Amino acid sequence: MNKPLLAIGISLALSVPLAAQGGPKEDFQEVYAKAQSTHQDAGNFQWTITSDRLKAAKSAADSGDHEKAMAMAKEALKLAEESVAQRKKQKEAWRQVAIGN
Amino acid sequence: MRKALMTACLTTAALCATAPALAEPTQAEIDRGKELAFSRKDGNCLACHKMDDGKLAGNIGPELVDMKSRYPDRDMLFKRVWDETKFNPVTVMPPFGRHMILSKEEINRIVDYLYTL
Amino acid sequence: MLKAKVILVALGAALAVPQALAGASPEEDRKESVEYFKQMFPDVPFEEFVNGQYALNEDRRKQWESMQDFPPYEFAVAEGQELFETPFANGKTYASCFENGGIGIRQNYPYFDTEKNEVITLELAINRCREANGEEPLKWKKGAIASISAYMASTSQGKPINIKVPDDPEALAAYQDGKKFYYSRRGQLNFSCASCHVQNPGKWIRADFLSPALGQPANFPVHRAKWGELGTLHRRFAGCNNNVRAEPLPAQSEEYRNLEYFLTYMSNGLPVVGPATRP
Repeated sequence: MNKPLLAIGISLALSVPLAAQGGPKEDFQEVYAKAQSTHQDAGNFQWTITSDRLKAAKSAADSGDHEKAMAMAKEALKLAEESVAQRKKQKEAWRQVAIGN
Repeated sequence: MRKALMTACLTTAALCATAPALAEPTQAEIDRGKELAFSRKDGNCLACHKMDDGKLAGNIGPELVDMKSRYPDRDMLFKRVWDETKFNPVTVMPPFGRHMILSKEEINRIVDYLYTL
Repeated sequence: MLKAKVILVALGAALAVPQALAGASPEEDRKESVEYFKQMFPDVPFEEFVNGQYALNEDRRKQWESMQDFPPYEFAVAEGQELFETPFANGKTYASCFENGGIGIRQNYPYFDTEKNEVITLELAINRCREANGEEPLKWKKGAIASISAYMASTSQGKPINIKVPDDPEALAAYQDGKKFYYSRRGQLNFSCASCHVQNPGKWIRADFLSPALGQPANFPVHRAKWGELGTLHRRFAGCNNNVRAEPLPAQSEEYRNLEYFLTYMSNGLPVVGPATRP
């Protein structure tokens, strides 16, 4: 057995108990925190649907439904990223239909 | 079934050409598409488009009729629902796919339905 | 040039920003805006724009006219007058805070305060008056503040809106900020105020008839059938933002005050008709 394979084998063996314990939860905290900060970055271009997903993620996590919590946090993050993209785009794009520019 | 066809389409150019004919949507898929198109919280297409037997339709966008002849290329119709701003930057049509108002699967069902109009 | 722009918008074609016009003054913006709506609705007299959808749709107008004998905001206006005239605990009244005792002044709001460097709306002035006299501020969107504002508007009926952007960089910045807000797409649905009220007035969005931007603020506070009561302009702003799935901003936030400043400036010369009714 060569070394890389051994390393994979060990990490696989280790990852099972890790995943069963605090692993996914910490993962969730990371995604959730990122979603929250991206949502903040949207400034006054925040979307209500992002706030809804963040709340749903939080309450799913509180009730121990980690799978749902993670799915909601990931969705919130993607939505928040789109709202930030919208904010950036509108810095100039608002002029497209503005009367009197 | 559809997913398998898509994969085949991606991997084998020869199969791709015949895929649309093979992928005839089921009635259930068409019904689902209509439901998504009419529902206020999903497509809400009636807000702007007259279509089918929809009541109290808006008139901001064009009436949705003859969709197959207007959009012979299914992919083009999909893309315009996904993000019309790519084709017309001043459109008021929401970018349903890009902004995650509808999923890829949901837009495909709506396209199935639109092709019956 | 203008006509070309209207047609382009109607066709939904991409618009190039005419560079020569970049940095137009508020007055140039206003004139071009009035011209835009005149071309869009050539049969509607200028002063009629204050009536929004009723100026554009005959059926809606008839329904509206049948309501005019007993307008649903009458009680609120009477209540507003009583509140307006009732002295604060210190014996003073609202009249002490306003020019001309607060009568016939609605058309001058909002204005830019060059000392505080901010836009002062009528509702903000009402609450600041309360606070200056040791009273708690009122809630912003409905209730007593809407009634007082409605009474003050009723004493200004027919007076032409007269908003000024003083020759001051801060005032101009507030105007520009409001203009940018008006035209910026927001929310998951990607709509700006202009998506409906500049690009598509006179059209139906489902069962709602879209009014033009011109004249919109002249009828506030407004009694909406949907609300079953009076509400302020900022309540309406928040509702619109919410409809497009954009997080609404607080009433009287700097953004909404600047938006009101821009929007009301666009209606200069049109008569005050608030309070009014809308569906």
